Amino acid sequence: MKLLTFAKTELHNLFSKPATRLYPQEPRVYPERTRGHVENNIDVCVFCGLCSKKCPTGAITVDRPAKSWSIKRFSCIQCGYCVASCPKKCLCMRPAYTQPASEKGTETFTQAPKDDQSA
Amino acid sequence: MREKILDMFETSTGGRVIFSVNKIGGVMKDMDADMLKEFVKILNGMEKDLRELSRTFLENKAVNSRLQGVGLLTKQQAHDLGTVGPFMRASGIVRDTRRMGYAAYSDLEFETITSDVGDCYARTDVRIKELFQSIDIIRQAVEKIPDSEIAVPVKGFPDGEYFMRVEQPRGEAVYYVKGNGTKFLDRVRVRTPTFANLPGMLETLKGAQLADVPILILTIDPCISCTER
Ligand code: SF4
Ligand code: SF4
Repeated sequence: MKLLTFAKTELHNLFSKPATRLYPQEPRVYPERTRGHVENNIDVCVFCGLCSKKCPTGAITVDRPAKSWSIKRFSCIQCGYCVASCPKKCLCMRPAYTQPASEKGTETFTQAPKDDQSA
Repeated sequence: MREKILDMFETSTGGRVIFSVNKIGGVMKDMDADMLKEFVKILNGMEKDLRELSRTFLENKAVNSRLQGVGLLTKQQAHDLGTVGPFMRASGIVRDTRRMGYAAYSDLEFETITSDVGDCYARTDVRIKELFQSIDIIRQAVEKIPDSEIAVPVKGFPDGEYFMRVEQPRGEAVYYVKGNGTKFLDRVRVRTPTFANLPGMLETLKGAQLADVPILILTIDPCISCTER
């Protein structure tokens, strides 16, 4: 009886699909709620700075005169407070994780001057 | 098998290890009926695999010879040393904080799982039975979960203190918070189950064979990072 149990496991392992996936060829599909990274739709941002005030780790810096929004990816803990606080709803949490890096960099997004459109 | 569990965590909360889904007043994300149904399906499948797996621990001769009679802790010792959780229950003390009926536990049916032997085998046995108990509790909870708000708004800063006992997988944890009416709390203290189980573990280690030490430590399932604070 004991032997049979073993054989069952063995056969199962022989003929079942591997539990792992062939990673780079078969990319991982993230569930939609995965907290991967924060994204800013910079054209909508009004640089009010609320997100940087709410951020518990101080990862976001907003420069109103320069119309730039920067995030220290390595300081961000993906808590989502900034996303919840943004009055323009231009921030969102995307499922994909950021690329690994060997240096702690800051990513800066700058809004293109709007004059072209209004002119 | 662990991957399936992590995937369920990720689908429901967005985090695989750190969930960040609880907030003051409730939770941040809701689970809809489809998601819950899917989870129960996964759990049902997993229960089958677990049954198979648990036989290795409970029926295999070689494993049993390493577990049985090793690290005995009597009921009296378990009580005196203040052990908690499966470690305590394996020594014959019938106590489970969930039976006090906090949260939704008063609406769910489950028995406290105990063993009278108090050795490593008993601890393994209790833990494995609790796995199936947990799956059963989840199934009951999914059936009975009401459709309602997931959080209530909380305003202002707390004043006063609060003390809460909860049952965690490793045993009873104690949370203590003291507020002073400002933005900052005076004190927060978490007594983790591993911390309470260390004296009991030391007792079982006395005079043990070196080869038994890993088993003695692992059967209390210590979380070192919880305890080292
Ligand atoms: S809260 Fe929103 S609108 Fe305000 S600066 Fe941040 S991203 Fe821009
Ligand atoms: S997700 Fe949290 S930590 Fe990250 S930038 Fe937003 S507020 Fe800061």
